Amino acid sequence: MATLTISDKERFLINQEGQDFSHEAKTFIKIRELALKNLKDLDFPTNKLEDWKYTNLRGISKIEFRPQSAINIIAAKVKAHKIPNLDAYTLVFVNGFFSAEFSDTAEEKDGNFVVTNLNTAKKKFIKFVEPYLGFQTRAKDQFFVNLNAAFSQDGAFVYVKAHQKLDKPVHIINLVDGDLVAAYPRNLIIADKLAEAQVVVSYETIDTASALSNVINEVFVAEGAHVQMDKIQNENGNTYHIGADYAVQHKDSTFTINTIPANGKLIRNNLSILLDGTGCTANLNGAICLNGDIHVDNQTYVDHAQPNCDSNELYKAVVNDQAASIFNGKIYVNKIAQQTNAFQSNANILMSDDAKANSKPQLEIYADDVKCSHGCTIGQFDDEALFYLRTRGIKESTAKKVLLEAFIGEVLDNIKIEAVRDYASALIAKNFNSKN
Amino acid sequence: MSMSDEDKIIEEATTGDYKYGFVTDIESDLAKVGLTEDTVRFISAKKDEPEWLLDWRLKAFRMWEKMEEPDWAHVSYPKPNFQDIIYYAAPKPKKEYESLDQVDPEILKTFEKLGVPINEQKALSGVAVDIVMDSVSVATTFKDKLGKLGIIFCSFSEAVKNHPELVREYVGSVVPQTDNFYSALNSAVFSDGSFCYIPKGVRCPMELSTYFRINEANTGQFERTLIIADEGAYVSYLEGCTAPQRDENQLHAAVVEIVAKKDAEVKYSTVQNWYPGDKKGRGGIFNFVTKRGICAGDNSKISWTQVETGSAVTWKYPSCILKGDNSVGEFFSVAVTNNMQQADTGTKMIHLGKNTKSTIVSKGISAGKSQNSYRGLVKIAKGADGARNFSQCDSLLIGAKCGAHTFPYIECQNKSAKVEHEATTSKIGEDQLFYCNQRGIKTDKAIGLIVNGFCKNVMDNLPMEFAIEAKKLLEISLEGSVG
Repeated sequence: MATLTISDKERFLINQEGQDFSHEAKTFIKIRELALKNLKDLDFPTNKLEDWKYTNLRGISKIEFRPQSAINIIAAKVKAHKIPNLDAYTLVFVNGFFSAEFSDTAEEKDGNFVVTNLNTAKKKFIKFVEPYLGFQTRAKDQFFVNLNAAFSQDGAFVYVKAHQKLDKPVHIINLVDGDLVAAYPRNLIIADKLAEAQVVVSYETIDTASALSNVINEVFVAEGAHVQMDKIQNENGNTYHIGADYAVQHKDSTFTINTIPANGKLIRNNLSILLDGTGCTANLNGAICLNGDIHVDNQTYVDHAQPNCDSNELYKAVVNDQAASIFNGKIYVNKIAQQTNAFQSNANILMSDDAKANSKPQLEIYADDVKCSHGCTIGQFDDEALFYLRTRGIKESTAKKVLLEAFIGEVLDNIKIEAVRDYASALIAKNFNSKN
Repeated sequence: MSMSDEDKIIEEATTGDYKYGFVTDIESDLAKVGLTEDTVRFISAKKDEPEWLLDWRLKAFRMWEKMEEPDWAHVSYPKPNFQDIIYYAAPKPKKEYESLDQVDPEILKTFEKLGVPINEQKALSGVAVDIVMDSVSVATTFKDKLGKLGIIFCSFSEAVKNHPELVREYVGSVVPQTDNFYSALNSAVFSDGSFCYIPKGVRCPMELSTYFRINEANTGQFERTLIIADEGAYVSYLEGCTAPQRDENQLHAAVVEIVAKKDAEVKYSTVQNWYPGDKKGRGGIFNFVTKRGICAGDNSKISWTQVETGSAVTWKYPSCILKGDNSVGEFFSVAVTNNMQQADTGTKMIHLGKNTKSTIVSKGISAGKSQNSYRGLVKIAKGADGARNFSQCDSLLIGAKCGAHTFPYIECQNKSAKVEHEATTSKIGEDQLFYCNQRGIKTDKAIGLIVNGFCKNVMDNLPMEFAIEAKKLLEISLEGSVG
């Protein structure tokens, strides 16, 4: 009798099954079915794929990650992962599931906005969710995007009505608790015409067990709207984090995303911004300070589909120990996107002999009336600046810290909420201090 | 000036026809169409090669059969049918020439049209020319003078006959047979090429120059160049090409290998003007070239300078492996694409030795409906302490239908390395044009000025005679708006 062998991928997918989504509306089940269909043809990305040249995820397929709902979450543990001094609507998700107990939802407060979990929104606000959910993520070729689309349990839903402003930021806390958890949180953020919203998303783990966080953030920025998103990744050193952020911007809108990948085993961020109206501005920033043997891979893709848009990218990394920082930025300027201004800058400082930095800043330009530039540097702290500080009686470790603050500070300044900036800054200082 | 005038100039600039399209009628000795093991044996036998070289070719051929054509470059073209190509064409050997009078006047006329300095007057200008016409060397000058210094400068076949030990030691040492699809193909069927050896401590007193020319319809051109600079040697090597107009795509897959030993320096300059196809993109040369140099010894230096104006599709990455400590690699490039041309070109700088330095300056100019890409790799290996790289790639866009792209790869594994990369893309500045117009300079002249200024720091690296020719080519390529 022939033995039945199944591939790692198939076994992995079987492990993810067993969740019941039958209560969902047909339209959402369709999204899951399509994703499952796509997964059949896809496999875990390896570095043979150009987009995954520096990051190989085959290893994940061999680990028995499974979706698990968390039981007995202790309030103190959740509290420990809140950002100090941050006054915000807090939504807590544990292992991808909504934790109402620790969250304060604001459903149609004064009729101006909705801050709740996605599963509630799927029922109560289906008219807002349906046109947007999964709209950008129908990418057939992305394994992890489809994985999340198929198995996502819940996530945050933020909707701001036209001409309205969220009175305080929304803080979405994603916690992982348990052994070999596969968490699939998925957030949907919609800012209607001229609306304004600030969203902070943080990813944290409760203990040190290995986990897989496969996350998606979808953002829609309507005409003239402003959305700022801060993304803090602070998971334990055994956790794989594979995230994708999608944003669509319409006429005259502004979208800013600040990414702070601080801790984890492997972090991969795929940012994809579509500038689908004239006069848009997109800002993408990354403040990266790594230690240990973490592997961080930031990919950005800015699609200038319409004329007169600006995009600015600033990614700065300080790499210690055996850590690796990868930046792959792509700017695509469509034929009709005249008067495009696109700037991209990536600076890296290597602190140790085993640290690695790879950078691939790409421009693909099909319009002629454009100003596009990118710059990339890899180097060290300026010896002369260090010497200058030391001649003034500042000891070397302090001087280096000053230089670090100056280097990364340029990125952190883009975080508008003070409490979040302090939190991010502390994470970065901690990573830097461990060895230097 | 009105918009329509400007459109007209751009129109003219982007529809200029190839000026060097003419065919020389010389009988050729052709191989059978198609590629099999027999073709490889035929070529090897025809050239009277030793057995080790035939084995070497066959090894490459067997590997090539298993390889697939690469498709990662940012170009699209009908894949050549490798069984539809004649792999060997040599001008009929008449007899050994002693002076230029004996050379086929047709050939001489062709070179005259190109302005090739082959006659005695030109010889006085200090250029030794090893002419490769349809794959076989026809004439070599200055051999005696170079011979006295111990410099070997001859065709590849002659080198195989006269200096087999050198060829055997170095061929394939920088670009292995199996490096990529086209280098494997070249290794199997290469027809001829140039060989250059500069002995220890010798500074080559003149610039060595080879003119390549594709002449027979439907013949692939598979050149192989090997340059070896022994300890402390110096050579400046020029390669230039123009090709006659053709309807069918022609494949050109050359391999160039450079070895620079301790304290040696090699400067390699190219002006490339293969037939780019007509305005609609018909015909034109496919140029898939593997060029690589190794700074094998300490304090050695390899410098690539290229001006690319031709070919329908270009796929070319002159690279440096900086193995010796304190070695230096340089890459200066101007790539102009017009009409339907596609170019995917750049360099690789692989830093292995300590205190190695590399500089990359790449200028891309796209016009018409062309696509121009820079693709480069800077790799700093773990042991490359104090490595330093500076890269600059600028693109200039003329017209709204062209594209300019940049794909740099930067990999760094050493904390003491410094790598800088910057790239810009823009169109010719309205303010610069206005400034020139205001001072009575016509727009087409002004565009010429700006383009020349844009390329200046690459052109400055070309040897003088070459710089003049390169400038001329640049003007022809963008005629109407330039100069």
